[in-house]
Amino acid sequence: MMQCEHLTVRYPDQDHPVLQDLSVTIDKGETTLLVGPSGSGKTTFLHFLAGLLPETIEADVSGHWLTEGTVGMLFQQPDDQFCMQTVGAEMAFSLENRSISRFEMDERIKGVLARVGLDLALTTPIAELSGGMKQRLALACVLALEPDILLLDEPTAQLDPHGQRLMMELIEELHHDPNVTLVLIEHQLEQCVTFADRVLVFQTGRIRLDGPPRDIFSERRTVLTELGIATPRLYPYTFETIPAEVAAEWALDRPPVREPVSTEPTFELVDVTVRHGKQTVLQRISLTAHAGEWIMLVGRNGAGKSTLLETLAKLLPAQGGTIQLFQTALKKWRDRTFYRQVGFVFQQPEFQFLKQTVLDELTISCTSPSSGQMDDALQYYRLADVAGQSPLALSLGQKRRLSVATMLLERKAVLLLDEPTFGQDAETTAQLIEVLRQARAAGTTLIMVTHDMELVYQQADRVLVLGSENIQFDGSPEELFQETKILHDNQLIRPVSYQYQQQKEGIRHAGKPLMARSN
Amino acid sequence: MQENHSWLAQINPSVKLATLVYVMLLLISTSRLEVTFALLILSAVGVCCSGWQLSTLLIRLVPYGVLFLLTFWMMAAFGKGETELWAFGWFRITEESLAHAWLVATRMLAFVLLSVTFVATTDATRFVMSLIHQCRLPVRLSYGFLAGLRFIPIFRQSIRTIRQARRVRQQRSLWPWQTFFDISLPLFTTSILHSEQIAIAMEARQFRVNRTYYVEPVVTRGDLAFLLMTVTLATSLRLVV
Repeated sequence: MMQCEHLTVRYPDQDHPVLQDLSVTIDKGETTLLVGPSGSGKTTFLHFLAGLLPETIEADVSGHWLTEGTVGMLFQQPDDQFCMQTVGAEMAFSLENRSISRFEMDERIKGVLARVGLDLALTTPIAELSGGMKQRLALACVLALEPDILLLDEPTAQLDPHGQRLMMELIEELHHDPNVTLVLIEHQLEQCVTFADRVLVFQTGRIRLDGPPRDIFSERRTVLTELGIATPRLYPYTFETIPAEVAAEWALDRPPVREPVSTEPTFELVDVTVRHGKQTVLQRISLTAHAGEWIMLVGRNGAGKSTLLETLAKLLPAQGGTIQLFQTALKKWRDRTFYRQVGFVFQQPEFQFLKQTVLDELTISCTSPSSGQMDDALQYYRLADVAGQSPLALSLGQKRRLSVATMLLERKAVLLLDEPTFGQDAETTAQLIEVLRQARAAGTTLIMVTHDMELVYQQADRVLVLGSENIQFDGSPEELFQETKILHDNQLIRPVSYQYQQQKEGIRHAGKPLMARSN
Repeated sequence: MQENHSWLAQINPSVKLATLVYVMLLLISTSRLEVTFALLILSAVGVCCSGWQLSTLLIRLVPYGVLFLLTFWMMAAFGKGETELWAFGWFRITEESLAHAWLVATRMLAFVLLSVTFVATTDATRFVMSLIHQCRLPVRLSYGFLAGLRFIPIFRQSIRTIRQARRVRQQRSLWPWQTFFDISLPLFTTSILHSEQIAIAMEARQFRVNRTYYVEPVVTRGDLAFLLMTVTLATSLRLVV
């Protein structure tokens, strides 16, 4: 059990407290979901529950609190939780801290690894694991502490959909353990609302709403949208029970409208082979991209999506075949003219900034910058307040907007994007999509790596599935979602809105002879 | 740093380090070419026992071979001396400079071989654990060091991305130090954030000084035998040759 009364927390360098006069009791065995806009104090609250304030993280803390039982915490970034080189040593680190005899360790390690579904040799280097496996290992390390209270800070935010699903299943299993009290922050609400016992909605350091998910996500839904919090797409309904007018209000029933795309080619690939290090990731692929076309690349980790983008951006040489941009081979383009036509938005924005201030960063992105143009850009990308700051000091969303702005200040023929919406909140994602839609309307070809199938369905003109060294599918999202085998083989899932529309169509055709649906 | 299955890899890392450092000290303490050469051969035997294949070994040692030649040439051609053997332009090789060049270059090569032997046969985690148990290294420091090791591949990846971004954005620096700052500033800021996160995560996992150890290196009789044997051999080489 955990209890706190009149809890106020203030960080030394800030004027306003992060948590203000918070009083809450969390019972044993309860699963509590924390939601709220970024900066509302959710993570600080979790850090406080973990006992990290005020010693490990410096802060002024006042109020009364009481915690019964031991606490374990899982963090958002898989890579930032390890201090050893191998799986076994990392797991042992938890046991060492609890002063468990070293002769018992191997057995316990194997037990916990089995619990999170990791079948790995103890000598496996952590660096070789995928993000999803790392996060499950991190969970195993926390479980090895045998905590009574488990705190999870956006455990799936940095994982691909497959990793997210596995992680969510594990969390749901833990929820069924009556001895474990779970407190989690999570933006992937779809699944966790179905098992959470209680939801706390944070707003500027206070608890705005407190109740079971059914109340919060149906009756109080307007409050959440007002706060800019993403809401689950279906909950508290299911496909069968959702009333048509609610579905309409939540924009579930509108299939996206796709504009015809021009036939003017930009990139043309013929029999191109791409390698990552010594390994061939794509073998003899051919592809033509058109002006104003939004192409999305999907597939498993390591299928060669990012490598293909780097090859198109002239950052990696193709191992065979020809790549042409505007009928001129890539090798014949000079760098200066090529990069005026082709932009690249990297996955980690902080590594693409070159200047000391946001304004300078924008200025060097133009050939002939004028102050009026700079002001417009700052306004448009909502960076005017931070124009004089270092790009590295910006928030995650601001960094992402700036990285896109530097690439789109001058019209590009092609923009390559490596998971630009990854780990971003709902608001930033929506803004980003708007900017990209405008670029597409102006005739820019967008080639984007993503894991977000809802985004693929809503925006893509064309989707490519990469896997087994080849392009496994090339066509519209609707066509892809009918290919059950391709979806399954590549760990892809149909988006909720598509499933809903299929369901409706199925009902409309009920009574008539109906061909077998892939649903 | 990696462990392999060679005999040298079984030796306790601290004992191995002490032995190798002793040989290095002997190398510094002598200015006779014969002794240096004898110790170089001893080091070469050490490298050959490191469990690497001869081909790998030769490839890895090529850069040091080049360094050997360069050192030799520098010392020989620009050193001081009376008895001139050969002169051309700025280069003037004398008997004394030649002797000096041999000495410094072989000494350097012996140092390299000893270090390579150590690095090739020692696992970083076991080394740090051994430092904790045999050399009483503070636990906080050593676990911090281990956590830091994980940054190396992350750094490599980040530098690659920064270089790619500079190419895409067509930025070239006028001065080399600008490139250095442009690359190191984002690296530093991100790694400060990362290290803070790791520290918090370690605290959250109840990291404490009173602990048990999964890997607990001990000094065995074999280790002591290795120490005694090598030290005796090296000392006698130093004294007798």
